[in-house]
Amino acid sequence: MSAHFEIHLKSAEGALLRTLGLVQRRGFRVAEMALRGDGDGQMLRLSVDGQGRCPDLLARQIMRLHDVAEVQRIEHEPWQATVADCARALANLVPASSARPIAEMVR
Amino acid sequence: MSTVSATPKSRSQTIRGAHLFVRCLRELGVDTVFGYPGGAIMPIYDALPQSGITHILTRHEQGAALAADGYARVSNRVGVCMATSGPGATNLVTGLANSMLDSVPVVAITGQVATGLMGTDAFQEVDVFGITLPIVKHSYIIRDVADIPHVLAEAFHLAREGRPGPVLIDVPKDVTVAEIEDALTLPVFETARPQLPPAIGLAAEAMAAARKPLFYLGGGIELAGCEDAIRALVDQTGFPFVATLKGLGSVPTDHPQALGMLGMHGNQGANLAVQESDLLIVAGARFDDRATGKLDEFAPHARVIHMDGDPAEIGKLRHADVALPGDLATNLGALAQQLTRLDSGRIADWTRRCAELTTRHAWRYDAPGDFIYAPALLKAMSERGGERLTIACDVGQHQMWVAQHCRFRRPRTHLTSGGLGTMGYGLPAGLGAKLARPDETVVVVSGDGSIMMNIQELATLNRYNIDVRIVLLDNSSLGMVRQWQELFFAGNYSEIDLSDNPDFAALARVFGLKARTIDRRDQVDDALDWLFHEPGPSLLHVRIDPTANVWPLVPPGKNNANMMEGEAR
Repeated sequence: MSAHFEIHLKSAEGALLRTLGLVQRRGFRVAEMALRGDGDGQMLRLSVDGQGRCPDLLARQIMRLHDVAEVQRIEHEPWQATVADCARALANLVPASSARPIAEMVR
Repeated sequence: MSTVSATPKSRSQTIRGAHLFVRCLRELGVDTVFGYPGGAIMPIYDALPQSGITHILTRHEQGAALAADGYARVSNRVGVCMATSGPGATNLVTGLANSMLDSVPVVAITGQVATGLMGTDAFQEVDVFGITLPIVKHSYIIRDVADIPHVLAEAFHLAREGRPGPVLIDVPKDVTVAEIEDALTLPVFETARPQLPPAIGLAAEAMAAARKPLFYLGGGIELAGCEDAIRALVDQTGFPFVATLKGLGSVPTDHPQALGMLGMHGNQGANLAVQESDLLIVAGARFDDRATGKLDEFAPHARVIHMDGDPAEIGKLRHADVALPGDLATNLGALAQQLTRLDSGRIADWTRRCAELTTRHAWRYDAPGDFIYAPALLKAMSERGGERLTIACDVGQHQMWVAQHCRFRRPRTHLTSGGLGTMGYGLPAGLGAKLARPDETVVVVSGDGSIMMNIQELATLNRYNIDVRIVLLDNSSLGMVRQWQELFFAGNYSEIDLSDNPDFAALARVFGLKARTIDRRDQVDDALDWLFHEPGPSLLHVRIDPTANVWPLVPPGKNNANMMEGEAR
């Protein structure tokens, strides 16, 4: 069974490699992933298969990394855009003055 | 974590990054570094003289990393090692992995080719940042000379903070030769205040209700520096305790409630008590497979209270009925406060049972035969060494004999490569320990396999006249491998014969040490006198029975109640 994570990475050299390496070393297979810039850092969404290993323990192990600001288990698969994602994407496409009404429309 | 204060110095001229780097080390309290120079790190070596920092030139970078590990373990300070790029950096790898698996605070500094050459397969270029990702707590590449103070301060903070570990700083040559204004501002990082977990009350209730409670003490106690708190709780409750390999000495091993080490080569009484207990109070231990044996059958009747500074260890291998993550000292103190009404009568039968197990399975030293009996020699050595004895050992049979038969009354006096099992650890770790604690008598116990892994560090002992005494137990073979081939591979001995060993006493003399060899029991007393009274670094070469095994032994895949016991020889 897959587990899904949303991981806020700090802007630090090797943050993505360090996180993905840990996930694999702890016995989880990365099934899907998505990455985008997020302020100063990056937002990593992962779908992993642990073959019976405990995803909550993996979350605690990821949280130990100094490069990781936050880890959350999420319900949806990482490649599924959320409403918030759509709003953010639309807001980035239009001038700042008109971003707010479009975001509200999506919501 | 926040940066809250600084150490400003106002000067107008510029200095090289390397000089800033070394000054930061000094400001961070570094007085000793272990290393080996080379091309990419030459600017830092150029800045070292007159810095006030003592540099110990080991004869191999692995020796530097392991010496920094030993230095850190006995002093509870950050150990520092450094090497150049390429092979210098890769030679640090085993030492870093060793520190990672045993949670030792070390900062490793590696030179790197200039940033413009990185990624071009330049001479002595290797991606040490990438190579070491799985075996460091954190790592940096400094790409801007202005980042030096922040990176160094954060690296030292991270190495010590929470669960300690090694941190790597890779510094390209152009960064160390770059000029920067000579004004050092060193950030200070604060450690978060420990918080009390809500389950403290549940833990206290479980301890008050248990009929067969047992403390299970691990290396995390030393790391957290909470040996006084655990000792107080052990005394207050009267509960018996077992210790892991790395937990030995956190409470004296000759304490009346001590049952000894648990696990594969643990004391039989300790293992049986764990299997019979109804409550395990685990402090700073991680249910390592060498301690638990077959995990599914480990302590089958016990509920578990698990205290650990690292929340990711709780529930990793064994479900915790009561989880107490966070600062060990804080949690132990809170438990002691809540345990005001313990009924000692409740555990009277249990303490009698544990005493009986201890007596029944006490070590014996009356082995027949003429060969020197290593357990008896180590016991005598430990007792002769006095109250200020620190023992660093290598890996193999002698490592288990040290754990079984030497006495450890203080924390940080037993240096052993517990997690990685690094042959070659003992000698460099011992020299690092002696430099950190010159007032200690430091004895390295090694084997004829292990000593050859870092034999070159005898030259380091001689160069700096580091007063380390070596007891080399020589069975002319890779003893632990030989034992397993005898027991589990039908006696098919494969590549374990070391009967062509050099004459170790002669070899030690060539390196400038005093040395002697013994091979009969009647020589042991006199040899130990010599070992402890002869000043300066020395080596006592002890020939032992090549067929001697370490007993007892939990066979692989079995639970800890199924210990094999053989003949002492």
